[in-house]
Amino acid sequence: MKKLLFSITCAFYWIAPAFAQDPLEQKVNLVLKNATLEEALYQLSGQAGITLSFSNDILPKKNITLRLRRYRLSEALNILLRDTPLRYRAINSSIVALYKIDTPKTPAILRFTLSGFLEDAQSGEPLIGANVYVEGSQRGAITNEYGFFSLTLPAGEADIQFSYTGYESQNQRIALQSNQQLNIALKGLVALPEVVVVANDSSEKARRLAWSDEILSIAEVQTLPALGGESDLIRTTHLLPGVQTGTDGVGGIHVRGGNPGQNLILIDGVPVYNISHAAGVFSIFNTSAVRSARLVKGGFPARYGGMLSSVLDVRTKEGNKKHLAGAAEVGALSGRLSLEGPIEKDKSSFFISGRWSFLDWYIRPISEQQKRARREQGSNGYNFYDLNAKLNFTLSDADRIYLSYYQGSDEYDNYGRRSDRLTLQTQDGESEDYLFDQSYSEGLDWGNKVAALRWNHVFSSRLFANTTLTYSNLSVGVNYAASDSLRIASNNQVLFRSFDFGRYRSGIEDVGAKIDFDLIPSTRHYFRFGMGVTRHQFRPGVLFYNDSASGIPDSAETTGNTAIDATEYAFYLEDEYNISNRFMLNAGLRIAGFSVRNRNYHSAEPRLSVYWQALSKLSFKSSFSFSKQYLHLLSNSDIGLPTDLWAPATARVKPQSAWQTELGFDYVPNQHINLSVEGYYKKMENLLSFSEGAFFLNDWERNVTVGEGLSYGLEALLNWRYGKTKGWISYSLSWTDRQFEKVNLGQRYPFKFDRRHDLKIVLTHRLNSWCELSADWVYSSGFAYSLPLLQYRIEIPGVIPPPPVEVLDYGSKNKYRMPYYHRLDIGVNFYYRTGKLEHTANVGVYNLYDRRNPLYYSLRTKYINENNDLRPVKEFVQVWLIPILPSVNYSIKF
Amino acid sequence: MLRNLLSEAFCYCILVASTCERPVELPFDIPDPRLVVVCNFTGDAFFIVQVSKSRSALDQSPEEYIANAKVDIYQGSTFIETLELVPRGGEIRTPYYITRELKPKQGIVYTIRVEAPGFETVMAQSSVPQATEILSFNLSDITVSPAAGGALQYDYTAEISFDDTPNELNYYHLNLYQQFFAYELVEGDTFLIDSTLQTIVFSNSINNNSLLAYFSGGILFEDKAFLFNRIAIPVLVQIKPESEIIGKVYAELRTVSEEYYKFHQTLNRQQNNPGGAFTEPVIVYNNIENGHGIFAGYNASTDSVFVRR
Repeated sequence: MKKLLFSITCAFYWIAPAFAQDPLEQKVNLVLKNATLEEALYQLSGQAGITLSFSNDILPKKNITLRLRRYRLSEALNILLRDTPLRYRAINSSIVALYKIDTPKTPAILRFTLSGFLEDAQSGEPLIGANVYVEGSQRGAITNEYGFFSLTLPAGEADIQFSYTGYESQNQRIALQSNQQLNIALKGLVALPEVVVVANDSSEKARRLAWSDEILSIAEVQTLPALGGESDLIRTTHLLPGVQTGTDGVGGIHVRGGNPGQNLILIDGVPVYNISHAAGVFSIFNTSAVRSARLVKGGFPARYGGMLSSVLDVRTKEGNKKHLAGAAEVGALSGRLSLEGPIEKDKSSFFISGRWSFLDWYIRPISEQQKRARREQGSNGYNFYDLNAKLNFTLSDADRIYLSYYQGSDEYDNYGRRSDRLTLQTQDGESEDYLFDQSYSEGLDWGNKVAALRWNHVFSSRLFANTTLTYSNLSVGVNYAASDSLRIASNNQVLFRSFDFGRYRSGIEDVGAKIDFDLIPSTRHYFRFGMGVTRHQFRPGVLFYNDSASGIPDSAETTGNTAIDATEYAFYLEDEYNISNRFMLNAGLRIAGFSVRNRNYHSAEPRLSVYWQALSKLSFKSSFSFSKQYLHLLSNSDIGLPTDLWAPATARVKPQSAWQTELGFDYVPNQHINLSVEGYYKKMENLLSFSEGAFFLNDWERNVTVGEGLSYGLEALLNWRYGKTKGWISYSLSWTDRQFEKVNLGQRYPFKFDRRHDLKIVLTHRLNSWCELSADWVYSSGFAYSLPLLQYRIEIPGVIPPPPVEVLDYGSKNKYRMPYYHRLDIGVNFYYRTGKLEHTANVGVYNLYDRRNPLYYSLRTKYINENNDLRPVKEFVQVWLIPILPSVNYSIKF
Repeated sequence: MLRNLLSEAFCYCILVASTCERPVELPFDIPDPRLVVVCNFTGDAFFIVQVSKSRSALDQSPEEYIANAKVDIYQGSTFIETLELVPRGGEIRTPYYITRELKPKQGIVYTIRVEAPGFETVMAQSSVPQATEILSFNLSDITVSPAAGGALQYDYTAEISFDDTPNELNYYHLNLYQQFFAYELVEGDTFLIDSTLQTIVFSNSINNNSLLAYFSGGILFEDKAFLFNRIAIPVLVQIKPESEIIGKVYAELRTVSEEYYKFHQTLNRQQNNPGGAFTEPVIVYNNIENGHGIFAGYNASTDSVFVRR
């Protein structure tokens, strides 16, 4: 670095005024022969407890030969600095600073850097987003994703506060005389977990640049009421403004009108492509294994790229470096086990956690019973599991290595067999027995594998680097087989036989490497820069499909749906610049590219966010970001099925892009309340959708249509905390629509999850040390839906021969709105301790007043007896997923 | 289809333990019935128009044709003719309205106006496009192989070149009809006793954005679907050799108006849509203002060739 501050320090830095003496009057000796000025200053320093401080790049080249004995320091310096532009000045009783006379009148203030890691005192887990704050000033730093911080301060004494939500703050007086590394361990608060949205801490909000950015506390996620007692990270994000699910049973998250495929979901920095279990009822994130999560909805820093709508950065636990610990949890729907501990105390640790669903225990016997009632043998079932594992090693103060792994899978099967015998009279009056045999077998499985090998290296107190090798794999499989036959019982002659089977596989596999740097040259600047490259392999398509009954050729090997390899790379640079104590900005640029089938795409993505603390209680924020996404998620259902297809941009299909701008303010009237309001406008282009009515087994590239989307709205989040009661209210007013050439006849239409109003209220109250109440209430406009309310029949001579065909009239796509969605969940958490064991029992009720929020309406036909005739009657049936659902959950930790 | 089927089955399975359903009155008003007007017209043939009404999706009653409508044809804003009602009978099994004098001419924009008591008056416009000439029609790669049940299977590729007008987007509906002769052997001699034409229906596996197999036969396509104005499409037909002889293949290339193409394309996609709660619907094109249906012109040229190895 050009400007390297070099200092020579001796004795101590801060001497009480009582012992003060003018350092320039101190007597010094000097013997030099052809010495440089730097060597001369070295000799002077260290005599009589004096510190000379200077920047070595201001020293002119000079050869000095002289001998001084018992000269005053001022006299010695006058001699040495003769004919140079350098002057000196005593800063206090022990420090003399040198400065250039063409610099400001006051000498350059000497600065040193305090850096280190913040971690949990009990487990050694690094604390992400923790605050390092200089008391009485506006200076501070936030720990990065690995718990590292760097804070450059003027030399001297400073009172530093280290704090983190849910932990006891720690204050330390630091005498900063040189660059210093300090690792701090904070103790967790046992009594009262903090509110989920950390941003409600007003002082913290003021200290960090936070645009549409929420950090989720896993402790609080586990506190809130949960479906089936299954605490869920994604369901908690749905309680934040601007984040929506479709309805119960719809997977994924929709952020500010975006599609589920536009969210960058990271597990330990590695993208994961499917986050749902059980068609979206649960997410893949086992909260026992998650350490922290951060959701960014807009104002994306340049370090994030590749997706348009949001970033959900999930970090898993590192493992306890202090002692062996474990947890077991059992609920109605799943069980979890976790074990963690040191491999070498304070140096290395392991973490392993598993979750297994119990759904198969319920579904299989019920389905067997139902099939028996239909005179079938068979059943269907469903199971899922998650496995998280991690190893980490602290090699030195500067080097740490992490290896993390996640694997999760869902498996569904449905099979059945039915045999029947039918006796018919032949023309000659004899009876003949016919045997029918029908069987079917269906299977659907999907799973993620994610791995990361990370190396943290602290190059210096101001330069931190993280190098990561990544692997991510999503694999989806569908198997289908069905047979049907008719035989004459007496001679076994086969009159009819058909056999259909198919096998569909799709997936995406990524192998990547990236390196990220944090450079903190001063408290004013925080640079992040880095680069990454990912090799994608997309595997969309049918492997084999046979339908002997339909006349389709015997084996329809996939055409055009072959594997596609692509390479994505990115470079980025961003600077979080504190222009003044009241005005900050984050400016960055991301250069990204994508190479696929000899086609290269490039993009320059500017990002800018500004923050202005207008008044002590009022701050404004604004941002602009442009993003490109080279991956598309093709879905025919908008409900987040695992069979949705990940596909790359190709020569035919351009990458999607979006620009988003935001404007908002934070108002903190007192320490109990924080109000945040944001307006946003997002324009999305080159969105991809299956053409309406496309036949999905065909070449996807020739059956998709390109379009655009528009989202805008206003979001408000009010956090409060009074004594033992805390919570938040979030409200969103939003609009979002889509337009595709080959959907809805090319006309613009409301996006399925275009909810005009979205209100969420979350409340927790601590009754005493062992009992806590929690509740949330959600009230949202109904989602947009298409319904065929009219019908007509047509036949056209020469075009459509008899019989006539029935045409369903939907009006236009998503013309109708479902009724308002609302739901109240409550929960009670009991905490108690026996010896070294911590027990937590949770009793909750999901959908307390049994609101029947429709998942869809279906047009059904039933038959009624009318004068001994069966008459078909059509009716609309409302299907809803989850009625009132009580739950009990118990966990134990040691 | 497979994927849809299994996905839906999966969803239902997951929901089985907790899903609830009940018949409901929809929280929406079902729109009033509207007139349905259907007419595909071509040069040198009278306008034939069917008029019916749309019904509630819950309505199970038979189709109700409107026999008291006033159906007028205009050329631009000039009235030309009021159509006459023909009660059901003959080749067309439903009541219809027909012109007695007017036959559409190529390139002229016709307007239809239909009034009926109790309904909003509806209007639509279309024209007969210029016919596209078939330049050549050949069969290649003809193979014959035994099929199940003693049948013979003919596989061949039908190749058609046509004179597409460049620099404009044109729409087509290509129909192929396979001719079969029924025969009898009488004392060693073959007597052809009947001739039938079977419309060839193609598999949906050929579908893409610019081309799709029509559910009642043929393919609908835009000219950009094929390079060099040439179609090569595989055909599969089966005959019973003990009673049938394969005959000619007839190609009818309809140059269709945009309205024709959009209506039949979307109708076809809706007919093939598996439906269900988790499948996105297909919106059928409609050019009848204040009503439903289609009023669209087309033109055709034909050619034929024998199936010979």
